[in-house]
Amino acid sequence: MKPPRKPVPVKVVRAPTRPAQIASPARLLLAGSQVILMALALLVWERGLHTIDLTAMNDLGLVSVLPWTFFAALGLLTVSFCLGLRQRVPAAPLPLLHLLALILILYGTPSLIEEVPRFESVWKHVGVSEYISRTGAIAPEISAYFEWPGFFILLAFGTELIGASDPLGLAMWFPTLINLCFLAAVLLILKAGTQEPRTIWLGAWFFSITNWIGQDYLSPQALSYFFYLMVIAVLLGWFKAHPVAAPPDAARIEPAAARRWPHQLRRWLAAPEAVSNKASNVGQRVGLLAIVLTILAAIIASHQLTPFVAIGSLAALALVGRIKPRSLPLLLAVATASWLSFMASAYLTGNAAGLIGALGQVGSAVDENVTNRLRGSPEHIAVIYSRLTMSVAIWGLALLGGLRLLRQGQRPVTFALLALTPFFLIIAQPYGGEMLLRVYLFVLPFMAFFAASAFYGSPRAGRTWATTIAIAMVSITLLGGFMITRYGNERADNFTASEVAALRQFYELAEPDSLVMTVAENMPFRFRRFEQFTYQLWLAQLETEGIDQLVARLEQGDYRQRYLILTRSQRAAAELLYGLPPGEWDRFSAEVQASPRFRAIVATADVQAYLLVDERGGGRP
Amino acid sequence: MRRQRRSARALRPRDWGWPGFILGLALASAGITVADWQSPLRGVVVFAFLVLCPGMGLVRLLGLRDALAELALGVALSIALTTIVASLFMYAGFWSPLAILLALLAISIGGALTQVRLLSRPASS
Repeated sequence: MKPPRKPVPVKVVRAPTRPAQIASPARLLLAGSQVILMALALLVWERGLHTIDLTAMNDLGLVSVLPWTFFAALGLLTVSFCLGLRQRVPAAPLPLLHLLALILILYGTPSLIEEVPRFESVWKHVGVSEYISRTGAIAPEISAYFEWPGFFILLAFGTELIGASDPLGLAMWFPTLINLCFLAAVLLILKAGTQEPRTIWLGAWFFSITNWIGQDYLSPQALSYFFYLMVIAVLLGWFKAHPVAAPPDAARIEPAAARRWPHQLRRWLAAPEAVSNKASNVGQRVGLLAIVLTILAAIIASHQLTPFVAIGSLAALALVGRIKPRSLPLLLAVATASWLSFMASAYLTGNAAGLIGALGQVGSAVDENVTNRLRGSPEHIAVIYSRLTMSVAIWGLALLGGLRLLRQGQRPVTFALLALTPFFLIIAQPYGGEMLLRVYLFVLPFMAFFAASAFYGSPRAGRTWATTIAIAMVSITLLGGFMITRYGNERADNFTASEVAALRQFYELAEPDSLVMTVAENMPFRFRRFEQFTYQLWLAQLETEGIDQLVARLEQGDYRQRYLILTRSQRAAAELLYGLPPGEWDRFSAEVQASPRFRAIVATADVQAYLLVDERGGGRP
Repeated sequence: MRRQRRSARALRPRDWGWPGFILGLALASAGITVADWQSPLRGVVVFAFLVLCPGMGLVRLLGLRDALAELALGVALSIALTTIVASLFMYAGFWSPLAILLALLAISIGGALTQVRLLSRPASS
């Protein structure tokens, strides 16, 4: 009979003791200074908002029109936050208040200075929910959105219940609201991974200042991401398991065997967690598991990509015994496959060849995710390089933090798995060139943890002024980068109330079952009568083909009417994102205006909508 | 032998915090919606109900003793439950916002009342 294995020695990091209840004068002075600095930052930020002129924006985006006060506010907030981290255990409400103020400044600024919700996809999503409200049904034959309709059904229901005509009011503030949700989830995750409070606060800070991906607009992926984070937070908080791949008794193995990589790998994977599960009874665990299953069901019904990330992450954790129940990823995989087979079968049938063909095509994935994106105006290319630099910077910092933890004998295997597993998606699917962005987002909380560990790897580390200054410098650099990387496309992503009013007018005039040609997709469209129009793009032909070819293209197909829409934001997108040479838009626009085949039905400074007419000026050519 | 029935514990005002909030918001949302009251306040009340009440009604039953976890889970569960309930109505071919609201009210009020009942239960000796 085999002797029982010795239990794996667990290195317990003691929770830092709470500071004395009676605050010292120094602590009070620090807290008071922080409150004053934070209030000053908010005041300076708010005053500066009134001076922003969006019409003066260039291809570097929002950063080109932000006043110095905006950056001063971020500087003050950063200094104040970093001063708070000088305490061994920062006074709880203050770092939280700093993070709330940070989110308001970083994510709420566009809501205060722009006239209508930014980002073309928001308007499309509003259109899908309008269809559901209007018809009381979903239509998978129209769009793949209806094959994962959970989010849109939620939006339609909420809009009707509120008695609003559309969810644009929510869309305006959605990035700020959902980032508050992300913050709560990330704090829970970090609390489940370390007992060092400064790592928790700094990790959440790094997360918030490097989440430039922009996947937090009114969308299924934003909500599903919050759900994903909450699932991870619950599993790490209450369902961590003792590693099953425990190393064999050191006394019973040969020294040579101990040096072999399989043994080393097993030792790594069996490293104990830094934080134990939160205390819970059976009833609490059953309840929490039911909540996890409910949230996973909502993810499956709402978004096509997130379930696969969840399957990958949970499978990685379950395979090496970091969470229980270990059958959870299998259950999730079966549920996801069932949804694909029964509820999203049309999408699967239509795209199976493409999905399977893309498997393992690393070269094309890199091309679609990186190389093909390196285009546009010179300023825009600088923005793209900033994004690559910022990604490398936070990942590099995370690598340093990971190495520092290793040197101190810590093995945060769970966080390492969650930081690395989503990268398999790049090999699996280019996702229209967006997979690298999505992977960045899914690994970000864990990268932020490792980045924070570069400064606070141990309870004794990081109390010198050098560390405080280093954190402030890194934060200010990342914050400067954030305003370029996140809002670098703002000239094309932001819309005016005039554009929206003109397009509302267009949708009132336009006949159903018609063709709508646009140059680019960056415009607030499809928010009404989602199913009634076919949309096509003319961007690729704009420089090479003339008006006659455009007319010939419009005349193809069986449509009731054919329309051409040109907008200010399309022009911005064509020049900024696709590098349309200066003057080309004006030439094209003048040719359309002069052509007898186009009759303007809506004409404002920002929008021109034309109806294609026959040579005699009548409709329906 | 029949166990002697002990009297329920008197609730302190603070015990009514979340249950009272959930019940108040649920009833206000129901009233506003049924009366079709057009006001900016309607959006705030109904939105708060949808993102807090169904989830907090259930999460608070777990007694997690972690305010951040309860709030975050309450919001996530509220949104997930609303998504699932509304989707079930949609796939059942019975799209009725009022019926969906009734289902969510049942979850929220049921959860809140159960919280009150658990709090008023005498502590076991």
